[in-house]
Amino acid sequence: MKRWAIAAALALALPRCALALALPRCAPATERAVAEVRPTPDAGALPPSFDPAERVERYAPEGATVVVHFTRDGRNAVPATDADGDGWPDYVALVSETYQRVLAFEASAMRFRSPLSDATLADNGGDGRFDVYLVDFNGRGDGAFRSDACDPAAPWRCRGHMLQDNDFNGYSYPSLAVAVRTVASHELFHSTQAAYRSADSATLAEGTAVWATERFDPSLDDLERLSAPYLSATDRSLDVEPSGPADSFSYGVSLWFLHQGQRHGDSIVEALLARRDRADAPSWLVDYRDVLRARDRSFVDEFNHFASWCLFTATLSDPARGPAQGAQLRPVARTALALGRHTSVLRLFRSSFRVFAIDAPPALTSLVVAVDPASNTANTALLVAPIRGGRIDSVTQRPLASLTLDAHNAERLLLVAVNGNAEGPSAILTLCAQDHGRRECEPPTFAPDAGADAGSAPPQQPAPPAGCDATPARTSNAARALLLLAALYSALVARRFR
Amino acid sequence: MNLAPSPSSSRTALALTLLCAACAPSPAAPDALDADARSSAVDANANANVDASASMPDRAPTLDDAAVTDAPNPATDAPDAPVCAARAVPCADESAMRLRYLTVVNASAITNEPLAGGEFRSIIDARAGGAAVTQSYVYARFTSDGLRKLELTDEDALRSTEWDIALRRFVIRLNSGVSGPSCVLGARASSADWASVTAVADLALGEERYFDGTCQFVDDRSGINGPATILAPYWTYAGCLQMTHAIFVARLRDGRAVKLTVESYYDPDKQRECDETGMVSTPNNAAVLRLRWSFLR
Repeated sequence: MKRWAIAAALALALPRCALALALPRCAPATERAVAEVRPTPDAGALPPSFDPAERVERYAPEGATVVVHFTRDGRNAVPATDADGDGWPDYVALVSETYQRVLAFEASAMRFRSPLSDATLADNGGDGRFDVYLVDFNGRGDGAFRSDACDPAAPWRCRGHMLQDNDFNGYSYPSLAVAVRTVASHELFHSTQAAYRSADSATLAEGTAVWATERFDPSLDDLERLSAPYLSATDRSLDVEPSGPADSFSYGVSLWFLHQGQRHGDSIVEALLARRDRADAPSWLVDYRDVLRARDRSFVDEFNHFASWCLFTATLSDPARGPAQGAQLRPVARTALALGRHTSVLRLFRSSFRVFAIDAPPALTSLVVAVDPASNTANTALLVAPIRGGRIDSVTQRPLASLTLDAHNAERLLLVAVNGNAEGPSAILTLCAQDHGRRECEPPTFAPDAGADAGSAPPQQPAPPAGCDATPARTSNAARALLLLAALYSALVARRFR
Repeated sequence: MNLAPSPSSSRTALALTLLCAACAPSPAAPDALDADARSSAVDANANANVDASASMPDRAPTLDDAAVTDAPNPATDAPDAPVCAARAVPCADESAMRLRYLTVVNASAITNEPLAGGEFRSIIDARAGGAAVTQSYVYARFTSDGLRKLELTDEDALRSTEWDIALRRFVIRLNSGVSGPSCVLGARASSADWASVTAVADLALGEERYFDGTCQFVDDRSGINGPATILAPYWTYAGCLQMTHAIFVARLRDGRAVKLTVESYYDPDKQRECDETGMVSTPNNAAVLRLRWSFLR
């Protein structure tokens, strides 16, 4: 987090594009941001903006697709270095070149729409090209996209301009070039989003913007760093909006788009934005589910795969089964599961998953799952991932129900409860692991309190592995061997992620 | 936990029945609910088939309706009979998701400084593990000895009428409406003069309604997407949390009333820095709140 030294000093600032006053959460273009004036002297714009005494210049070399507005004097002055002696500060040229590269990449390589032109606006920076204003953020963010106006016929589509820090002085980017590439690729994607639907969900806006930076330049570390808030809170739904001034979960949702982009190409994200180009769009997850359906894909399957994919990070990294940059990511948050003890009653929200870990599991581990039948248990699943020899041996998908698992020779067993719904209420459950036939789980503490027919889902005894007439009572060695064989067979026929 | 396999169309009524049976008011008990008996019944209103009007009454259900007991004696810590019965919490699943309810009891403590005139300054460590919270809200009850912390998880609190106020980071909730099963109603006082706020009389007290009748989130319009709780106007956001010094009045479940104001979100000197400059330097102990309050007589 060293990059954000100043922002951190401000305690509640955000990692990217925190607009100091009106938009501290970096909403790409909220309704209140529409019709903002340009940050030129005397324009009355919200800070940051140029001071009245500052002389603002335009940098727009022939053929350039962007115009950079800057000043050489005052508190918003850019670094004066002009190594090539062309009369223009090198920083300004760097900004111009980088923004043009990003625009070209997003439109040509990723095949997204270009930001809407501001040619028809009275205050348009001089012409219809995209405008970038270099002003001092003073540590309160480092760049921002601001909307100017929206289409009368389609008021969810908007056009705007960019603000970027004038010198990144006090920030901890390793170089100005890295700073500009990072901010340009992130914030410009907000202008791209606005060409489809402005003022959209923060998780969609920030998640795709961080993903776009990764696509533009995989050497930048934004996604690697900003995915941490997601990997530490996978029990949050992908589309639940962040609350509060310092909630960076939405940036971490970039992992979902990285996963989907790798499986289906950039076009799947473009298709999502295009689908949202309408007046009354529902949650973006619902739209995304429909985009997948149109491609004969299932959101449930994709999310289950994503949950598996997220296991392969940090020391468990495996680029063949997880993120290519998995070694640079933090481990997914896990809850230790003690044998013989039920978890607290858990809510498994839509498009979320919870990872549990059993250290030194018994060779045959029984899992007792008690589910509230009144809750939404459709499209839930259990992923089983034994760790052997320091790596995840396999990931198999099973129903989220009591069952017996083969943990033979595993030093750790990861269990992932997944809710693959794109909408709807949560599943409510408890889990308890036990040594099959030996240590039994006590009955859950939430026994029904309204009579026998009140309907607590009594925790089922773990289903014996297929084809085996075992009971959860004491078993003989021979029976245990059979159980093991059956569990192995069961694991083979269960769905396995690769 | 009520794990009732009821049809969705009847879940509200059943949930309400079960909940009320489970948590019949018992002020003398530390918590009438089994701490492990976390609610699923309170999730009933997450179902779209639920009649929203049934779960979100247009007005506070009980304070005006119930037979109010004799004026309680604020000098004692023994609350009088509660003036409302527990009820199912509407939009509980949405609250759990949106407000990030957790199942870990907040480990922090509350410190009470007695002030003149029977007032208190309560210092509540509402950091909850940091900006990415890892602990439940701090749940507390107003008593004559000060603000007393209760050992509740967020899920427990959905079925507990024992708490009056919950605090975590910048969010402060009262136990009513979509926030909890009790009837702690509140309002912002019309006066900004602490001494002049002496009665509930002319205030239109309300319950928490930061989800609407269809369980859509109602934000505080601050720009940072916080819930529009009754006490949300204690701050404004301008690069940091600035204090408005608004005074609030809350009528508790036992009929007593308190007035309160949040003095600071940061350490006092840092709060002044924030209030005066719009910026705050670190370290600043963000989310260690100072609450000044007293019972209204």
